Amino acid sequence: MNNYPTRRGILQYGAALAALGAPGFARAQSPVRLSYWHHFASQSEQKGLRRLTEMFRARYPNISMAIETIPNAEYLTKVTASVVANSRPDTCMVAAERFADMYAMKALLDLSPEVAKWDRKADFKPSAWKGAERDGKPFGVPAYSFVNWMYYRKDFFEEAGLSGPPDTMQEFLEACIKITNPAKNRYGFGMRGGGGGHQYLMDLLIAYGSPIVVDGKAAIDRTKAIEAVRFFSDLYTKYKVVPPSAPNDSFRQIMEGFKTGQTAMIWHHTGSLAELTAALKPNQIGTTLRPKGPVLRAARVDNLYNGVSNDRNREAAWNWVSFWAEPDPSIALLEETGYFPASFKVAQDPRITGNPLYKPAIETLSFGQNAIDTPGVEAWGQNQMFPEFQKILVGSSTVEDAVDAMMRSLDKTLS
Amino acid sequence: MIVGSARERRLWNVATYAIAGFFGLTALGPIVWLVLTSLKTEADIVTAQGVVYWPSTLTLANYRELWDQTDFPTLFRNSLSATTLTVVICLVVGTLAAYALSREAFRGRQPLLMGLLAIRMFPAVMQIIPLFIIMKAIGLLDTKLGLALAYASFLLPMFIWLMKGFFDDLPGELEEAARIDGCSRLGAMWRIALPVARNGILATTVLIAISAWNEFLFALMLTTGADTRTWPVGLQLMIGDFQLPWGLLAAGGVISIIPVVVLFAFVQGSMVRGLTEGATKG
Repeated sequence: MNNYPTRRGILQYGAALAALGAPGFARAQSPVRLSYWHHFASQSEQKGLRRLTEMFRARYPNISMAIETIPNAEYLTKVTASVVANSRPDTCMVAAERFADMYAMKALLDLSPEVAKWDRKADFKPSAWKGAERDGKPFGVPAYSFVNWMYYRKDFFEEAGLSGPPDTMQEFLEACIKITNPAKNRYGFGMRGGGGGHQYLMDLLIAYGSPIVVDGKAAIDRTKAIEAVRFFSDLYTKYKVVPPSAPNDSFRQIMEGFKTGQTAMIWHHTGSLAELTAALKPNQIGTTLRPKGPVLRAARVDNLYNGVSNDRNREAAWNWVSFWAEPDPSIALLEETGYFPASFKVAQDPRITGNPLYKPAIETLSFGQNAIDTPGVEAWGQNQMFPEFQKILVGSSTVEDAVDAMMRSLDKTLS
Repeated sequence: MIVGSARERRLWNVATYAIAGFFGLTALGPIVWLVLTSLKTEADIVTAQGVVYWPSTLTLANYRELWDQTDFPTLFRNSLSATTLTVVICLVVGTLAAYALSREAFRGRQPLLMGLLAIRMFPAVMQIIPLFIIMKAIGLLDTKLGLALAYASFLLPMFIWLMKGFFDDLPGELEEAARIDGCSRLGAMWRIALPVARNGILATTVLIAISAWNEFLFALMLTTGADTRTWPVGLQLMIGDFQLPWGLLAAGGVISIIPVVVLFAFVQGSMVRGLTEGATKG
C-alpha cells in the first residue's frame, strides 16, 4: 500500500490549516473576558444569574464573564462615572426608565446591525423593543418582563366561600368585603398607599376609561378619573377593607402583610413570585389577572433590557445579550426569580404553559400596556398625583378636589 | 449643684437615674433588637401575630448563611486594609498639617482652613465622578490604596480641623522651651506636642476609623471586583429590589459593629478624655 500523501490529501490538509489560521477562526477561539454590569442583588436573582452564566459558559467556552453587581439605587451614578472616565463595561443591564438617561450619555451602542440579522427578532412584540429604542434603532435586547398581575390567598377565598378570584373590580370589592375581618386582623386587600403606589392608581384610571396622556398632552377625563379614584380610596375610607396602615404601606409592607396572612390580595408583578411561593404553601397562593375595570383590564408590562456599552468585544457582547432571549436561559431565570420571559415565543414553551401559576402572566402579555414613556409623567404620578390621593386617605381632601389638583399638575408638567 | 434635704436629694437622684436609664435604653434598644433579629428564624421575624419580641428558637443559621453566601473573610479584610490605610494617611498628613496650621501664621492660612471646611460641605455624590476620573488616570481604580486616598479626601479635612483644635489648646511655651534646649521644630512637635495631645489624636483617629469602616458610596463606586470590595458594599448587595433578607442583614449588621465596639472598648478612656479636653479650663 502506498503511504505517500496524495495531492488531494495535501490540499485538504492545507485548507484545514489555512482555516485554523484564518483571522475569523482565531477570533472566535481566542479567549475573551466580557464585563457585565447589572443590579441583580437579591439571593434569587443572584442564583438565576449564576445559572445563566454557567449555561452561557457551556455554550461559549472561550468567553469568561466579569460580572459586577451594583445596587439599583447607585446604578446610574456608576454608569455615569464610567462613561465620563471612558471605562464603560462591555455589556450592561438597562431598565426601561433609565434608558433615556443612558442613551443621552451615549452609554449604549446601536444594535441595528446585529438585530437586523437576528432570527429571534420576531419573537418579541414591537412594544417589547420600544422601551430601549430611539428613532427606530434598538439600543437594548429585551431580557425579561415584569408582568403585573394579582396574588391572592386561595385558602382565605375558600374559607370565605368564594369560588375563585375576582374578575372585575366589582367582584374584587365584594371579595374584599367578604374576607375582611378586623377582629382577626385580616383584610381583603393590601393597598400600596405609600411609595410606588402611583402605578396602580394610574392603571386604575386607564381601566376606568380615562387616558392620562394623548400625543404628549394631558388627557385625563375628569368624570372617569373621579370614578376611579373614588373606587380606590373607598376601599380605605368607606369599606375599610385594607389595613389601617395603608396610607404608609409601600412594597415591603404589602409583601409582609400578604405573607403573614394579614391581607388576602395584593397587586404586584411577576417579580415577587419567587419570594411568595417560597413563603406560602401551594394551596395558599394563587395568581390571577388584575381585575377588569368598567372599560378595560389595565396591567403594565415593564421590560428590562441588556445593552452593549463598549465596542471592544462586540461579537462576544452580542452573544451574551442575545443569549438571554433563548428559551433555556429565559426559563432558568424564570424558575429562579419569577421574572417572566420578554419573548412571547418563549412564553409559549410547555414548561411555562404547563404551570398554572404562570397562566395569568401569559394572558397579560397579550393585552398589557407599557409604562407611559412621555417624559415627566412617571415623576408626576409619583410626586404629584399620588400625594393628592394620599390626602383623600387621610381625610384632608375630597375625591373631586384631588382629581382637579391632579389634572392641574399634569397640565403644568406637560405644558 | 443640688442643695436641699436628704429626701430632695434622693428624689433628684432618682430622676437623674430615670432620665439616664431612659436614654440608655433608647440607645441600646436598636442594638438589642438587631442582635435578637439576627438570632431569629424567618418565621419569628415576619409573623402573622405582629412583633415577636423574644424568639421561640434561637438560631445561628443567619450567621452560617451569611458566611456561605458572602465572601466574608475577603470583604472584612478589604475593609480592614482600607480603614488602616486611611488612618495612616490621616495620621501622617493630618497631624503635620494640623500642627503647621496651628503654630505657623503663613499667608493663605485662613483661606486654606476655610477650603478644608468647604470640602466637607459638598455631598459625596458630587465628588464621585471627579475622583473616579482621577483614580483611573493614575491607575488606582479598584485598589485599596485608591480607596484609602478617596476616603482621605473627605476625612482628612475633618482630622485636620479637630487636631488643630487640640494643638491650639496646648501652651506654645512648652515647645519653645524644648527649642531653647536644642530641639528642631519637628522635634518639639514629636517630643512635646504629640505626647501631650495623645488623647486628642486617639479620639480623632477612632472617629476617622469608624467613618472609613462604614463608608459605602466611595467603596461601591471606586471598586469593581470581589477582591477589593468592602464589607458595607457586600452587606448592601444582599438587598434586592423585591427581597429583603431581614435575618441575614441583621447578622451582617451585628458583625459590622463588632470591630467598632472592640476598638472603642480598648480606647474609650483615652477617647473620652480626648473629647472632653478643653471643655474645662483654669
